[in-house]
Amino acid sequence: MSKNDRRLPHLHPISTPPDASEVDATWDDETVPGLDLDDPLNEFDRVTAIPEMPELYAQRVQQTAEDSRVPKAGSAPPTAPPPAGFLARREEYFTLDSGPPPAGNDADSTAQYTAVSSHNAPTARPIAPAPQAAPTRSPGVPPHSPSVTGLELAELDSISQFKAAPRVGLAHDPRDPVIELSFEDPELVAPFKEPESGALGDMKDRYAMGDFSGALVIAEGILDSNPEDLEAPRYAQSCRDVLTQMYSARLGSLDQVVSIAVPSDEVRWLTLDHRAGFLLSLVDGGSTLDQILDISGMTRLDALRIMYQLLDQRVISLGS
Amino acid sequence: MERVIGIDLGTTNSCVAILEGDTPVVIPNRGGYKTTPSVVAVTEAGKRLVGHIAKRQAITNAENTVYAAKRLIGRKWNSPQVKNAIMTSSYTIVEGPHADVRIKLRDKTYSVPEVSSMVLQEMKIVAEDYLGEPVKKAVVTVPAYFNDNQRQATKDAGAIAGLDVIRIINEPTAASLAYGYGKDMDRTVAVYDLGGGTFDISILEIGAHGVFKVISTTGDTFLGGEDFDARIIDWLVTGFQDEHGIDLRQDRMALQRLRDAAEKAKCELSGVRETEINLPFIISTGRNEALHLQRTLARPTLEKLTEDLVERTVDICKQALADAKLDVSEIEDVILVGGMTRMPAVQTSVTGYFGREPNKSVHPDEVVAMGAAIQGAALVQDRQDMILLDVTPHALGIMTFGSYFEELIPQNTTVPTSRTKVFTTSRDDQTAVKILVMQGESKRADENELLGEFILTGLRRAPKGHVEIEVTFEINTDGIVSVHAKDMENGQAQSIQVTATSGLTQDEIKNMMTNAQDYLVERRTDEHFEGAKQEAETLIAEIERLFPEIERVVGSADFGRDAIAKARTTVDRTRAAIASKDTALVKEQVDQLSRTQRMFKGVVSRG
Repeated sequence: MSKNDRRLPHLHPISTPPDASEVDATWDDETVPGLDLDDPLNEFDRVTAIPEMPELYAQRVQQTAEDSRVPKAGSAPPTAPPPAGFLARREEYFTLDSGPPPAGNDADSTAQYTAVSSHNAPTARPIAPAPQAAPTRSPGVPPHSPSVTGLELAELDSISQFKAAPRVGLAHDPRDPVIELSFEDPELVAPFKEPESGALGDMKDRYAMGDFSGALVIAEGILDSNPEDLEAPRYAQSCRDVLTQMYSARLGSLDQVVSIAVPSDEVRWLTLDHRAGFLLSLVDGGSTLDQILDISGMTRLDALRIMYQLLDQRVISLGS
Repeated sequence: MERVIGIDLGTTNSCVAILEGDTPVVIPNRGGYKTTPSVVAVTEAGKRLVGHIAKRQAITNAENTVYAAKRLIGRKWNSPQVKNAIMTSSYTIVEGPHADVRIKLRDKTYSVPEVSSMVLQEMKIVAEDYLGEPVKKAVVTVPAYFNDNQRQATKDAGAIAGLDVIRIINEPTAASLAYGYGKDMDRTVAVYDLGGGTFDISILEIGAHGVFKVISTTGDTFLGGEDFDARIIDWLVTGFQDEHGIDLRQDRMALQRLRDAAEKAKCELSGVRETEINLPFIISTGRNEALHLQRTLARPTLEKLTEDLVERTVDICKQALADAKLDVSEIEDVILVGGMTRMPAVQTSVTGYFGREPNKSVHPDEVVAMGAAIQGAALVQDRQDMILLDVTPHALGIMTFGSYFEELIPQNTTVPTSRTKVFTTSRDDQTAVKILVMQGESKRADENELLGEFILTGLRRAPKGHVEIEVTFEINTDGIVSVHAKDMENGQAQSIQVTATSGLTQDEIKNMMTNAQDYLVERRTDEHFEGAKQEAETLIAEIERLFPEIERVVGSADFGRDAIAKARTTVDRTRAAIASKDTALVKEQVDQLSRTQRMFKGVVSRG
């Protein structure tokens, strides 16, 4: 997938989730954007909008932004008052900066979002990041996932539609990704659609943020309560596809032979559930990853996820 | 000379053997096992699994895993055995277009011979991998009680698998053949066959010049090693429930693990006095913790748990001897067949009943396949002294008034043969008679297999018993049965030709053969790709390991840098070829990688 492909065609997503193949599911460091600063399409140089701004999410972001807009000595107060509605909010820029807080800035470093005046924020070519600030892997913490595991972090790599644009002079958590919202071309802006609230909105929100596991859980929850729902199955399937690709990429070739990497008398002291215990019981030192997935009796996604977790915990090892 | 493999197509396990020189050799599969489970499954992704891998997911994917297809092969939809299988099988059995039996796996329906052909195809592949050449001909064994339709269905399964089944022989006969191989003997033997799913006992007369006569055969198609496993599972489940209050049967994954562990423990207890069953994380409690199952099973406990099962086999032995009209003292040797006969309690029981130690000169898991291989070699080498006579497996006859079975050709009659009998009408002024051609040994017609029927009309009107009808049964060398009925006075005649059928048409068999061939080609292509890929990946790893050393040795010389650049290009091209699954290209790159590796090694050793 080229970097161009990662651009969102609309600022507001259509209701159908994008084809899973459009999502970068690889966790290969080589594909991490922003490494090639000579690239005219360098992600750090581009500005993109969050694909959707559901009302609840927008309000939460707004609130966080307002909270962080604490007047500091030497810092300029926000020039724009808090907007009353969504349309008004669209005139604001919410940025996240991955750069370290500037010296002398004692703003709350836990604040993830900062609202800045529209005329202070760049819309076309934001300031290029300092090379040392360029992350090799997206270190972003999504607003919905205050604690992230390595896996979740990796999943966030696929949020390539977000543009990283470091801002100088704002308070930031250095782990935060840089996100900037703007309207590049008003012509391209889809007609305003009332954001959805509740589980459906949350599902889409998480999907857009790259939290595919979370979106899948919500989609399945929606389907449990309303099997007739038309959108949830599409989102659920798309999430499964992306997650399957992600775990597959992490595990590598499925032809690798799986072995138990801990002594047999220590296995019982591991912290595993019965599903992981079952998969572990299928590891005989001769079967390949693919064979174990075939006979697991679980969905491929579940089996891949557990095998990845076992590998991550060094309970199993892979070899040829 | 063309090689012929011998296949023991078992209910639970199958085995393939070949005669090498004068020695029958059992061929191990890729996992190193000499037997392969007769289990076929289709995964969620639509992939076909056969053998051990299919067995390992038999419970977690129960609806799409076929085991014991042999119990269904060649049976009619309305037969009691099929009705029983519908009740007891986890997979879906449906009626076929010819009143035959079909099995539904995922979104596709398979005939029973088609499912069996998957197992036979696997055995064919095992043999071909071992011999390094294609195998076309096979001798396949079946239980002695199989009727013509079941035998024909087994033949069709072979054909679908791409095998020319040159002879179907009885399992006890094959076992006796392997047992008597190289010996000149004349004796009466009992073949006690306790396999994974069935128990058969056969009494045979082994005569000089290749005469192996099955005098009687009986058994239980629902008694075998799986029942022994089930007792161990019960014991484990009950113990766990007493301790934790959790029924492990409610969890498929737990049950799969229990079944595997039970079978393993049972096998181990044939060699040791006790064994430990250790299943960590068997079930989650819902309180964020997983429980472990750990118990020690001792041999006496297993023997106590399965005592009645062993007793049942002895009762069936008594029945077989009664059918053969022989006293137990007349049995001169007992041949043990089937993995379950390794269990010491079984051997003790057999010894106790027959009053003699069973013969242990032949391997119980392999003896049937070995016998089939011996027979296969004898057929292609035309060794008349070892060729079994082709006999009718069951008696043939017609149904008479009162639903009785009148036998015309007795069981074990060598073919070709012909027999004639005269019958009379059973009613006054009867002008037509219905001839029902049947196969079996029961005196009651409804307990035998109906092969075909026809009506002879135009009989003269006369009081009952006055019209004589001559019925002739003829079996030719191809096993085709012709029945001819004639009014002896007016010459009015009618006939029928009965051909054993598996329930499949020739077109269906042809289509299935094509599908099986396509599957084989696809599988072979995948295997070739995997082989080339593995070779390429090993070479790439070796070359990449040498890169730093090479760079150090060649320094900044242009010549050296060019070579390194070319090597990197070769590595990249190989990776691209692997990614595109292009077997030919990967093989091509392997040659280049080999040259590069040799060159690098040479440079490093000189540097």
